Amino acid sequence: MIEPAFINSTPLFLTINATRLLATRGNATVDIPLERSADGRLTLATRAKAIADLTGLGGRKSFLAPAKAYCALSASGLILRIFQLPVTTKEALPGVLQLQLETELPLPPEELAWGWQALPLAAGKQPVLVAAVRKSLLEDYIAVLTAAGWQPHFTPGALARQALCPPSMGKQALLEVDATSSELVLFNADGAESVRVLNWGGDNFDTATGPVEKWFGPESANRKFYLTGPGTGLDKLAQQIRQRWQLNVEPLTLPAGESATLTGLKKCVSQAAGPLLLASAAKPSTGRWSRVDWNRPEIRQWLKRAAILLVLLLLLPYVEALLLQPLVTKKYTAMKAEKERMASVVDPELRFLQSLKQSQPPYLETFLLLARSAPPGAKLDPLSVNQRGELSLRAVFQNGQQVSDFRAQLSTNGMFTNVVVEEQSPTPDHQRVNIRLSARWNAEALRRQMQLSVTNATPPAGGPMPPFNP
Amino acid sequence: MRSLTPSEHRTIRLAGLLIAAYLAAFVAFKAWQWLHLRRTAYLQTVTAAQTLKLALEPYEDKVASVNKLMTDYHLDPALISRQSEMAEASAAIQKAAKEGNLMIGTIRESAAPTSSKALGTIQLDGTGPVNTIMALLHTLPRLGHPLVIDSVQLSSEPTRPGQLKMNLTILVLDFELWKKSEATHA
Repeated sequence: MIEPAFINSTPLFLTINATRLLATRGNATVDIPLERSADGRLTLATRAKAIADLTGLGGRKSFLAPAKAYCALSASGLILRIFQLPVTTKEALPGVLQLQLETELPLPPEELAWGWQALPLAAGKQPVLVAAVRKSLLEDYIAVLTAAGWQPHFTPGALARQALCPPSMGKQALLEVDATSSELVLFNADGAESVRVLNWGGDNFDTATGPVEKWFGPESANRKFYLTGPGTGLDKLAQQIRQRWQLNVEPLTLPAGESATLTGLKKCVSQAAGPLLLASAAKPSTGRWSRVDWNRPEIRQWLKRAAILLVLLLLLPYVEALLLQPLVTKKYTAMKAEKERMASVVDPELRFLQSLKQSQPPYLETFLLLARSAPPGAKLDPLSVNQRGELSLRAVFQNGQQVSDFRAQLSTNGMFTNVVVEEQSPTPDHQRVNIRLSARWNAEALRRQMQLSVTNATPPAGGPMPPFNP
Repeated sequence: MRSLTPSEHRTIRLAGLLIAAYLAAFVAFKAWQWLHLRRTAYLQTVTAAQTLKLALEPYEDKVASVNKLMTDYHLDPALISRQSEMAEASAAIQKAAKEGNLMIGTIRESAAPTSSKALGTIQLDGTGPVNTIMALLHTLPRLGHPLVIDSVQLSSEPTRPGQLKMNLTILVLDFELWKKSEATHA
C-alpha cells in the first residue's frame, strides 16, 4: 500500500558490516560500533545502544506504521548468482525461480532472505540476478530496527554502490576498499555479475600478491575499475593497483565523511527501479507482537518464567488440595464435635429455660390489676387463680353500679376475657351486693399489649390497695 | 542371528516411540485423575466445613441467651439432681417464706403423674401480710430451682386483721424428663 505523502516520511539509510553500523537520515548521522558475542550475535548492550540511537533518528510510534529503513549489507555471507531460466510469463517467473533456488542453492529458500532482478533476455533464456543471505544473519538487525520503530529493507551494499558508477556499455568493476578488506563487484551494462570479498585493504595492500586473475577475475584487463573507500589515500592506492596489475583504475572521490555505500543506496532508492531488496522474515506490520524477536535471550528468559508461572497456576489447586486436606479434615472433625456438643448441651438447656420462663404465670400482674380495678369499699374474698388462667373470686360491693364498673374494667384492660358474674345477690340488709365472678386470661400475645408494669408506684386515684383487707 | 534391516530398525523405533507415548499419556491421565479425585474430596470437605461453620454461628447467641436466663433464674439445668431436687426445692421455698416473715402452715409434697414433665408438686399453706405474699410470689421462680406456681388461692384471715391466708401449688419441673421428651419429639 502506498502511504500518503504526509505519512511517507524520510527513510533511514544504513550500512552494516561486522563491526560497524552507520545510519543517516536527512542531516543526522549515527555511527554505532557493533560488539558481538561468541556466537556472532549482537551483545545486549550493543542492541540497547543501537535501539536508542536509531529511535533518536525518528522511529515511528507504535500507533503508526513504521518508516522505511534501507539497510545495505556487506558482501560477507552474501550469495550473488545469475540463473538462466526458461522464458516464461512475468507472473510465473517467481514460481520458476523458487524451484531453481531449491535445486541450486545450498540452503532451502525458507532459510534465506533473498531477492531477484530480471535481466534482459539473452539467447532464448531469461537471466535472473539473485541475491541471498541467511535469515539468521539478519535477525539481530531486524530486531533492533523494529524495536526502534523502523521497517527494515535489506539490499546488498555492493549493488548499491554500483549506482555511483557512470553508465557504460562495457564491463566495469567497483572496488570498495576498507582498512583490511575490500569488496569487489563486477558488472556489465545489464547488471552485476558477481561479488567477492578480498582479504586486503588500504592498510595491508602489500599482502595482495599474485596474478591479477586471482583477485579480479579472468577479464580484468577489459574492465574499467572504480575505486571507493574512506580516507584520502584513494589516489595513491589507485596508482599502486595500476602499477602492480596494470589495470584501468579510477578513484571515485566523494565529499569528505560520506560513505560510498550510503550515497549509492540513496541514489538507488531515488531511481525508479529501486534497489534489489532481500525479502526477509520481517513482514511490514504495525502490530506490537509482530515486532517481538522471540529468539532474543531476554525474551526467552521471560517466556520461561511465564511458562513456569502458568504451570504453577495450573498445579496450585491440586497442590493446595494435597497439602491442606489433612488440616481441613482435622478442623472439620473438631467443628463437628463442637456442633454435636452444642446440640446436646446448649439446645436442651436453652429450650428448657425458655420454656420455664414462658410457663411462669402472671400472678403479680393479675393481683395488681384487680387491686386497681376494685372500687373503694369493695372486698374481694376469697380469690383463686391457676396456671391455666382460670380466675374465680367472691366480692362484696356497695351497689350494682360498682359491680358493673369493676366488670367493665376487667373486660376492657386486655388482661382478661370471658368475665362472667356467675352470681350477684344483695346482702340481707340490702346495703351491699355479693357477687361470684369468674374470668380467664387472654392469650399471651394480647396480654403483652397491655404493658402493665409491676412497680411500687402509687396507684391511680380511686384505686384502693390492697382490696383484700376487710 | 541375522542383523535387522534399516526398515525393520525404523519400524521398531517407531513402535517403541508409540508405546512410550501411550504409556506417558496413560500415566499422565491416571495421575491427573488421582489429583482430580483428591481435589474433589478436598473441595467437598471445605464445603462441608463452611456449612458447619454457618450452623455453628447461631450458637454464640444461644449461649448468650442461656447465660442470661441462667443468671435471671439463678438456675443451671446441668446441676439439677433428680434424686434430691424435690427436697432441695422444698427447703428453698420454706427458707424464702421464713425470710419474708410468712407463717408457714401445712406443706404437702406429691409425685407428679408420669405423663407430665414434673418431678412432683408442693402444696404450701401460709399466712402473712399482702406485701410478704407478693414478695414470695415474685421470689419463687428465682430460687435456683425449676419451679412453676400452678395455682394461688388467697382469702382473708378473720383472726388476724390485715393478713391473708395463702395456698400455693408449686410444680417442680424435671429437666431430664423434659430433655427426653424433647428428644422424642425431635
